Amino acid sequence: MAGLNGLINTVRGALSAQSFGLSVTGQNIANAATPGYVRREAVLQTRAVGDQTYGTVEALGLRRATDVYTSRRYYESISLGAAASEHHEKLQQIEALFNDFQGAGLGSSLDALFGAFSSLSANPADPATRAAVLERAETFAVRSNDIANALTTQRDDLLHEARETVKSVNTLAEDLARIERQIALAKGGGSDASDLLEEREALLRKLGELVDVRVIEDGAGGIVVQAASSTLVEGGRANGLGVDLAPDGTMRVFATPNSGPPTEVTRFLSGGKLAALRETRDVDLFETQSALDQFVFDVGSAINAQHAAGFGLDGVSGRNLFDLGTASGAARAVRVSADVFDRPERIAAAGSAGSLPGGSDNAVALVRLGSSPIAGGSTPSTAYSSIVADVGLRVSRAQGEVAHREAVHAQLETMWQSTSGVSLDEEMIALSKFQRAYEAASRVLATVNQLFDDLLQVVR
Amino acid sequence: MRVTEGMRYHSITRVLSGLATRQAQAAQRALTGERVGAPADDPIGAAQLLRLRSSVTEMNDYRRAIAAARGDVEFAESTLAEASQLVSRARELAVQGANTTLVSADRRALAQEVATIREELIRLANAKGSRGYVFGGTRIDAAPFDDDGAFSGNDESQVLEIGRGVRVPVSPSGALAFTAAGGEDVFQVLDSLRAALEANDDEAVRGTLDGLEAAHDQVVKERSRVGLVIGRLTVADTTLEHLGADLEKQMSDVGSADPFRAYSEATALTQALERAVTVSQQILSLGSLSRT
Repeated sequence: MAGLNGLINTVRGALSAQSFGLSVTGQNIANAATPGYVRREAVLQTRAVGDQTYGTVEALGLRRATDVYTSRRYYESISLGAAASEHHEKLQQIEALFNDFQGAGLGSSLDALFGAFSSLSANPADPATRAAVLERAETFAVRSNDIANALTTQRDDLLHEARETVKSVNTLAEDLARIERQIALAKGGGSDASDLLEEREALLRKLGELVDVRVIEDGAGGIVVQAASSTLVEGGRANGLGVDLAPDGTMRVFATPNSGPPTEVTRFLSGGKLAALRETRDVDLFETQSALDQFVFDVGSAINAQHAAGFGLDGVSGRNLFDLGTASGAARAVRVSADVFDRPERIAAAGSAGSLPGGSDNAVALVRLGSSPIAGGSTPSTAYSSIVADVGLRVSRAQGEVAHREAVHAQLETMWQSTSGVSLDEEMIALSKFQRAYEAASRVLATVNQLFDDLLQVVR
Repeated sequence: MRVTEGMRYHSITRVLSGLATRQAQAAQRALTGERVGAPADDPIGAAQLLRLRSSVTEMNDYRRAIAAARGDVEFAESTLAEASQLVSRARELAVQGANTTLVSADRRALAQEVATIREELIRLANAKGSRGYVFGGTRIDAAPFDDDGAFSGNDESQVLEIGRGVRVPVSPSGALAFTAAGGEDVFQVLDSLRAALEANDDEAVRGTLDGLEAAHDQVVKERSRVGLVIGRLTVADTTLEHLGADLEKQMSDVGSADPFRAYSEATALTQALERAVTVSQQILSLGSLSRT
């Protein structure tokens, strides 16, 4: 049976355990607003000394209130959410290029060209009307060049951004490897390493925004981090990612392990900013650019063929209105042909040399192209409007994806908060709990002290 | 489920920012009256709008072309009207000249008038409209008739598209109106008449009457053909005007926001936002424990 001395030991344990509890509560309150901070709990347990029942308490350490399953899905949702909003943002920049509702776009400039042909048919010999045709043709070409150049610039920018992103991924991987080594050391030294774990999670979140992250516990307290199905961090060592261009101009992402050859992982990219950059660059921008090229090439070729069939005021036929180059890159290459540039009298309004200068057959035929299926089986305005609709659909799909990802993320955020978040109400209760316990233990100590005094008084 | 501060802040932020976005969009719609501000707002509607706008432009182009061509055609019609009167007057003179009671001095006077008519007629046949010589076919850059009445124009016509796939030749034909291509060379008939009158040959004068009749008919015929062209242009213009109005209406159906709905939506969302702010304040004032 324990005596007063035993009681003092019990109280000592109680005082240190309750103050540990207070300090943990203090940590939680201090970090209530820290993003990603995982709530900690003091783990208290009664302590046996030999076979004696002292019933004292000891602080075993901290428990981080975390749930592996929720955390994993949480990272995943960060990746997918970041990919969705990045994708949406970049697509909006493309949308702006095709926004014919705000100011004049390519569609209106083509309408204006057909309008000029129409005026030409009404007044085929008039120099001013002819000059207007050339000017409208020039506007169409310039606008097409502008859009194509903007698309190309954007593809270059996206590649640059992807390289930067990969650089950040590699830096984060290095940081994670370093933290992993520190965690292993700390755990080896008997520490719970909570603050290091906290830092590791913050890094994982950042990494998740850049690339799809999978975290696997290695069973020894460490983690294996995978990105794009390749191992990024394992056993305290970091591998890297790399970006280059394929011969066809598309972007490739490589896993570059410390040892061994790089392997291409482009098709495994499924989340994070990097995936969104690739998707925007090599799918959306590429397809939009091809559609635009094809549109300009088809319309330009049809106009050329009809123009070449007619006769200029000088009685010469066979001249093109546009220089187009090949179908791929036509939007960027299109110019007013050198044959007619600055030579309005060479515009071919007449259908035969005999009907010069007042003949308008060819001008009418050019007007008619505006309502003929010359662009992939559709009229020019239909073909152009479907390019715009396609871009619009891409943006609105991306918008939908953002909304969906936000909803999923919100739900996971709630789940995560529910498990790991700090509730100030709870902490205030815990604070009172530990405070009261500490006060009571002090009272016990005072009582024991009093008993000793009394005892000593009797003995004296 | 544990409810934490973080959860409250997060959900308040999300709800408020979502509502604020929707409210801003609704306010934009109510403010501008436009439903489709960017392709992504309604991709299908946006494509439809672009097509409709392109069609409206096309209608306006046709109408502009019609207006540009019309002036010269109307001018040609009135010129032909004048010409037919002149030929008709020449025929009257021929009838007079065929009268056997006339003396040679009278016939010379008549011949003088016929010569004037002929000159006047050549002047009319060489009339110049806004785009050049009206009766030279597509040779609009040179006078189609010389002083002898020889024709150097052609019988080609400028064509105009006055609607999808509807082509109209709009050039008045000087060849059909004044030259042998129309049946009778008007100037030659007048020459014969003048010669016959000068020769005081009533028999020969009588011989020109049929030719003059035919000449008159062919000028009138060309005039009425030109009149028909004007009629077609007028009808086409009216049709295009109606079509354009229809298209504009369709555009507004597709692209415009219903003002009443837009306004009530904007109002409802503004109120919702205000309520959400109030509720948020209440939620944030919870947790009295944390304040003691």
